[in-house]
Amino acid sequence: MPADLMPGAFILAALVVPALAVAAAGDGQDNIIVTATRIPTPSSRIGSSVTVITAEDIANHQYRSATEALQSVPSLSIIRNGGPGKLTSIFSRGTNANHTLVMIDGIEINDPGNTDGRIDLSHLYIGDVERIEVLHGPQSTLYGSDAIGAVIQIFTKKGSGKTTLSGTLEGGSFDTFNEYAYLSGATPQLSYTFNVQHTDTDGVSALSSEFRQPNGVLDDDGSESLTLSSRLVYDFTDVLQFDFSGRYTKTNNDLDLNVYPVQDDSDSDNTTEQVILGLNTRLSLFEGRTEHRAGINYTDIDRRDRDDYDPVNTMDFLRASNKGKKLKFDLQNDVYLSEAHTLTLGIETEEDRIDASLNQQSAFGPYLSDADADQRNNAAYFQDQFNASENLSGTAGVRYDDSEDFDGKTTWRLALSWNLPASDTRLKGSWATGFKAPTLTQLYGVSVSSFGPFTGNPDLDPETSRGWELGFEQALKRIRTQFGSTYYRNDIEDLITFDDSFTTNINRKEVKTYGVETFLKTEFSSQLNSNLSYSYTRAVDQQTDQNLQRRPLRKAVLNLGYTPRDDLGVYLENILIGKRYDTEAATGARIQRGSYFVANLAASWNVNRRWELIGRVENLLDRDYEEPAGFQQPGRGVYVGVKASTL
Amino acid sequence: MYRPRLSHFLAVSLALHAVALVVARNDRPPRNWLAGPVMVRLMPVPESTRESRPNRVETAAPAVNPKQAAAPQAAAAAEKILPQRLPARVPAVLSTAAEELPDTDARSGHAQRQAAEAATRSAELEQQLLDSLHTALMPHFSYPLLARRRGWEGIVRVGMRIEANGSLTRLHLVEPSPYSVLNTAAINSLSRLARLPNAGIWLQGRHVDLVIPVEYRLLEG
Repeated sequence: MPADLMPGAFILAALVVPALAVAAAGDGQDNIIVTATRIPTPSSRIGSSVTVITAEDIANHQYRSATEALQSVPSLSIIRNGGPGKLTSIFSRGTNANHTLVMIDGIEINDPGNTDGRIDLSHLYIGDVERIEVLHGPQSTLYGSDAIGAVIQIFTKKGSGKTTLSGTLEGGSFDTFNEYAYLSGATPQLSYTFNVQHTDTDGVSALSSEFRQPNGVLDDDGSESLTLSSRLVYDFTDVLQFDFSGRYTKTNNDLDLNVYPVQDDSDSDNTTEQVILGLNTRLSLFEGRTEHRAGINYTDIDRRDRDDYDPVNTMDFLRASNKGKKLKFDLQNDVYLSEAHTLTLGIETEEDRIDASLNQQSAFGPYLSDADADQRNNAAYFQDQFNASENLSGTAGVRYDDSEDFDGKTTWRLALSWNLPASDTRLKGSWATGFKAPTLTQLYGVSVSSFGPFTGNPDLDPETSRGWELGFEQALKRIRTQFGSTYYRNDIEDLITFDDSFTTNINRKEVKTYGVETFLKTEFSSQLNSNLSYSYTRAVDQQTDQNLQRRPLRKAVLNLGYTPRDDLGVYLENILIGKRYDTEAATGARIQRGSYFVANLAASWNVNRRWELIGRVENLLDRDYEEPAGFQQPGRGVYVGVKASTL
Repeated sequence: MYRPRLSHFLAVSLALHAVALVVARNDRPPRNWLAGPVMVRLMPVPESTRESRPNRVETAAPAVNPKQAAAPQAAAAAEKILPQRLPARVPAVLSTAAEELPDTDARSGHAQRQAAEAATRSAELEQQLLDSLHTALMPHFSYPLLARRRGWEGIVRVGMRIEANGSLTRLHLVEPSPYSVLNTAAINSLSRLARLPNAGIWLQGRHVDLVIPVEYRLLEG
C-alpha cells in the first residue's frame, strides 16, 4: 500500500521558467511543473486488509484459474471437490462459503441459482485478468449482501498500444491441454481486448480410491472449459467513458456420485454456462469535481447435472437444472468536496431470478425439488472518505437495503488508516457490519424426499455480522522488507440452517470468528524475493462450541521468486494447510484431518521478445492428500508450453 | 420502512452538487506548497538601470515568438543576449538578485560601475518579470482531480500576451496535451490571473508575447 493514501497537498514544484527562453528550452526543468499525487486508492481499500494478486504474479506462477491464484491468500480456505474444474468454494476468515462476494469488473458473479448463494470459482480462468484484490472483512456498506467474509474483485486487462495477437499453448500430465489467445490494442479513444481460453484435462477421479465401484473401476473425472471474454473501453471524450466487459464460459465436468452410497460414477456430469455482461458509463463534471457512474450488470448462470441409471450404480439417477439470473442497475456519484472530503452517494436496484428443478433417485428413494422465484432488492448508500490530516484518513459509510422479502437492513462501516512516516508504519482499523440475504431457494424452494417434504421459509431474515479489525504494516526500507499483522473478529448471527424437524429453514445459528493474518515480504536482492504469510483462523459455532468444518486452523504460504537473469524466472509456491475438521464422506461423521503440504514450481525463459518457454510442476513432492475429505487432489503434474506474441 | 428511490437519490445528488460548486467557488489555492522556487521580493528599481530595461524586454519577445515581436528590430540582439539569460540554477540567481539589489541601489550613483552592472542587472530584472509572473500564477494552478484519478499527465503549451498595463490577454493553446481536462485546466489557471502586478514598470508601454509550457506530472502516492 502506498504510504500516503490521499495526501492533503497539491504540489507545485520547480516553478522556474525562463519564459523568454522558452522556445529554446523546450521540455524539462524549465517548465511550469504542476505535480500532485495519484489518487489510485478506491475508498473501499482504506483501512482494509487487502491482498493483491497482480498480472505479474499470475504470469510468474502460471496460475491458470482463480482457484490456483487464491490458494496463496492468507485466511482464505479454498476447497475444491476433486481436481481442476470441480466445484470450488471459498471460506474467508472462517465465514461460510456464501459469505464471500466475487465480482469481475464490478459485476457480481455469485450464483443466485445456487441453493445457498455461494460462489463457485471452478469456471473462472484468469488469462485475461489484470489484478485480483481480496478485501478481507465485512464490506456490505459499499457492496451489499454476501460481503461478510471478504470481497474478491477481479479486474480484467484493458488493451493498450498497437494491435497485438498473443497466445499460449501448454500441455502435460493428466492429458491436459490449455490454450489461450488474445487480441488487444488501443486507438486514442478505444481500447480493446478479445480473449479465448480453452482448457481440457482428463484429471483424476474426483472421489478417492476407497470409493471404487464394486467392479473395481475408478475412472478419471475430466474437465473441459471454454471462455470467451472481451473488455472494451471507449473514451467518448475525456470526461465521458463507456466501459464494457463481457464473458461467456461453458464448462463440462465429469463428476462422481455424491449421495449414498458414495462411490465412483462413470456417467455423472455437469454442464455450466455463464454469461456475464456489464456496461458502465462514467461522466465527470466540473473539472472532475464530480463523477457520475451508471451501470448495468447482468449475470446468467445455467447449471445442468445429469446422471443416468447404469448397471454399476443401479439406484442413481439425476436430472438437475439450476438457472440463476441477476440484473442490476446502479447509479453512483462521487463528489470531491475538497481534499479533505470525498462523498459517495449510490443507489441500486437488483433483481434475482431462479428457475431450478431437481429429480434425484438414490438408495433413500426419490428426491424432488423445485424453485421458481424472483426478488428485488433496492439499496442506497452514502460514504465520506475523509483526510483528517496528511497522515490520517478513513471512510465512514452507511447503507440501507430494502427487499421485498425481508425487513430493511442497515449496514455501516468506519475505517481508519494512520501513517507514521517517521517510522514507515501504517496503523489501520475498521469496524463494520455485513449481511447476507436469504437466497430464493431458502425462501421459496420446495422439495420432496423419502425424509418428508421440505419447504423454504419466506419469513427468513438476512444473516448479519458485526466485526472489527486492527492491524499494522511496517516497512524496513533499508533491508527492503515489509511486514504486518492484523487481528480480526466477526460475530455472525441469524445464520440460516435447518429446523429440528428438517422441514424448513430458520435463522438460528450463531458463529464467532476470529484470527490473525501476518505477512513478511522481503526483497533479498534484485534477483531473489520472498513472501511469507501465516494465518490463524477460528470459527466457532456458539451452540456446539465446535470449530466449523473445512477452515484450517493454520495456513502458511511461502512464495519465492528467483530471477537469475532478465529473461529467466523461477517461482516456487509452498502451501502448508493445518489441521481442520471435515465430514467423512462415507459415514457423515465429523472427523479431524491432518495437515498437508503442497509445493508448486513454475519457470519461464524469454527466448526473445516474441517467444517464451514456460514450464511448471504442480504438487512437486507428489503428496497424496484429500481436500475436502473423500475427494482426492491430483499427484505431481508436469506441464510445458510456449507463449508467443506478435509484438 | 424507508424505500430507496431514484427521486431521493437525485435530490440528494443535486444538493451535493450545489455544495460542491459553492465549495469550488470559494476554494482557496491549495495549501501546503512543497518547496517551490525561492520567492523573489520585487525591489524598487534604481533610476539609472531603467533605461536599459525596455530593450531587454523587447529583445526577449522575439526569442519567444518572433512573429508577434513587440520590437522587431531587436530580433538580432536576442541571440546575443539569450545565453546570459539561462542561468544554470535559477533559484540561486534569484536569491542573489534579491540580496544584491539594495546594494546596487546604494551604489547607483557610481557612474564607472554602471556599464558593467547594467547588463547583469537587466538580466536579473528580466528574470524578475518572469518570476513576478510565476509568483502571480502559482496560486492559480492545481491538478485536476479527474486527471489525478485517471493518471493523466502531459505538457500544455499556452501562449499569452502581457499588455503594457500588465494585463494578460490572448490566452491560447499553442500545443495541447492529449487530455482536454489538462488543457482546460492550464488555460483556466492562467485566465484567473487578470493582471500581472508591477509589469507595467518594466514594460514601459510595450507588450510581450510568451509561450509557457505547463507540465502536469503525477507522483506515486
